[in-house]
Amino acid sequence: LVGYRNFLVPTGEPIHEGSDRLERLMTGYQAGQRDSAEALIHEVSPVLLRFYLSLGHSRTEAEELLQDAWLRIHKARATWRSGEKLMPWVYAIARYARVDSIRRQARVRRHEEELTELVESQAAQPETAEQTGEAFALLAQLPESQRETIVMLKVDGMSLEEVARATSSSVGAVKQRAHRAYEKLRQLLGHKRLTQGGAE
Amino acid sequence: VNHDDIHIHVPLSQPRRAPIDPRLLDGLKAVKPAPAVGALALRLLVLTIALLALGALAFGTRGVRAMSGAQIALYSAIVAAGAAGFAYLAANESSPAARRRLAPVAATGTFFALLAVGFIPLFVWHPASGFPMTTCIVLTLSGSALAIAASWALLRRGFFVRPMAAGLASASLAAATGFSIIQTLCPYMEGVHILSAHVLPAAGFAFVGGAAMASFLRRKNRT
Repeated sequence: LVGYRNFLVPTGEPIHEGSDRLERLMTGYQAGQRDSAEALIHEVSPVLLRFYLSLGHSRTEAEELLQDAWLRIHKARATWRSGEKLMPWVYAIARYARVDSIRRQARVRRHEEELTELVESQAAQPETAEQTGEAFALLAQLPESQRETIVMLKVDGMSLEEVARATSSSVGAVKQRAHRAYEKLRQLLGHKRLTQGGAE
Repeated sequence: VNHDDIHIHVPLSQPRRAPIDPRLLDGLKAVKPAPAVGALALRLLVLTIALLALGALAFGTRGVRAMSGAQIALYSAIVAAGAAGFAYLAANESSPAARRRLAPVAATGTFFALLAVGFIPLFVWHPASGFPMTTCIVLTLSGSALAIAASWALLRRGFFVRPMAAGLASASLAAATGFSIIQTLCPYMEGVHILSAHVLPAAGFAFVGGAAMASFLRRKNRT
């Protein structure tokens, strides 16, 4: 992966690492403090928006999913336990909101007799370069489960344990998905370097 | 390349629309955080024991008194392990970011397989015994239904990201309770009767009730 440091940054600082600020805000949200709730929404929304965009949704779809996720987070806010990391909990609900939305859309389309691999097509649709940039274009070539894992691990800087919690899977399964994603990224980047070299 | 050192930088941007309706925040109320998974599992277990005690008080304990020492020991061990396991699984599924996810279908299958293969062979086998079935089936299903309704009082505040697993775990706990109630009160110590009027209705409740519960949880999770 060396050589593509325009978007692979070794010392990037994920927003939630090394601080319990989000957890404090969540505690305030649970206590009914509006200021804490607003601050939390302001800090977490861009992260979730980026997550949905990275999974291949358009900006409009991603913002709709974001609203849906926040409604569910609001409704489920009592289920976050003090002492837990917040982001795995947020991601678990955000993922569920997305899966449920895709399932509902699939049901609607089935009624219209037009269902043809909705989930795959939605997930695989690459965004335009303008909307997503180079990193998203590259991530868009990974299978969905690997893309989701890489976004949580390498974009948001979550630990393996946190990603396992957010995705309802084991640490071993997360490691395996990440390893396969690294292999695929290495191939893609190698191919890209060769293509660029050829052009020069 | 050490993958641990790499961070992919993708810029963040605020959404163009408010991500949450401000009216929800206007009426924001304090909520009591849900208990820890272990504490919730313990409460579910206490509820199960209370229902079993209630069943024994209401219908008596002729079933237990008719069993041999070996039968009681195995029955208690299977039911206690099953109830504890299902209580933990149900409590764990109520937390969106629980630490370990297990497959309740394996636990449910093992529980009923142990009853069918380990417990029932300890009884005499008289297929033509003619023991009444309907009362036992109705009581097993009623006890299970009561147990799942009661456990919902403890689980209702959860958010279930795996509705099928959560439904199966809570329905299996209820089925184990229903089975325990009938086994404690029914004095007919005969293999075919226990299998077809106690174990199979409870197993059916676990799987059918689990699917129904999953559908209910999916609707509950919607906004």
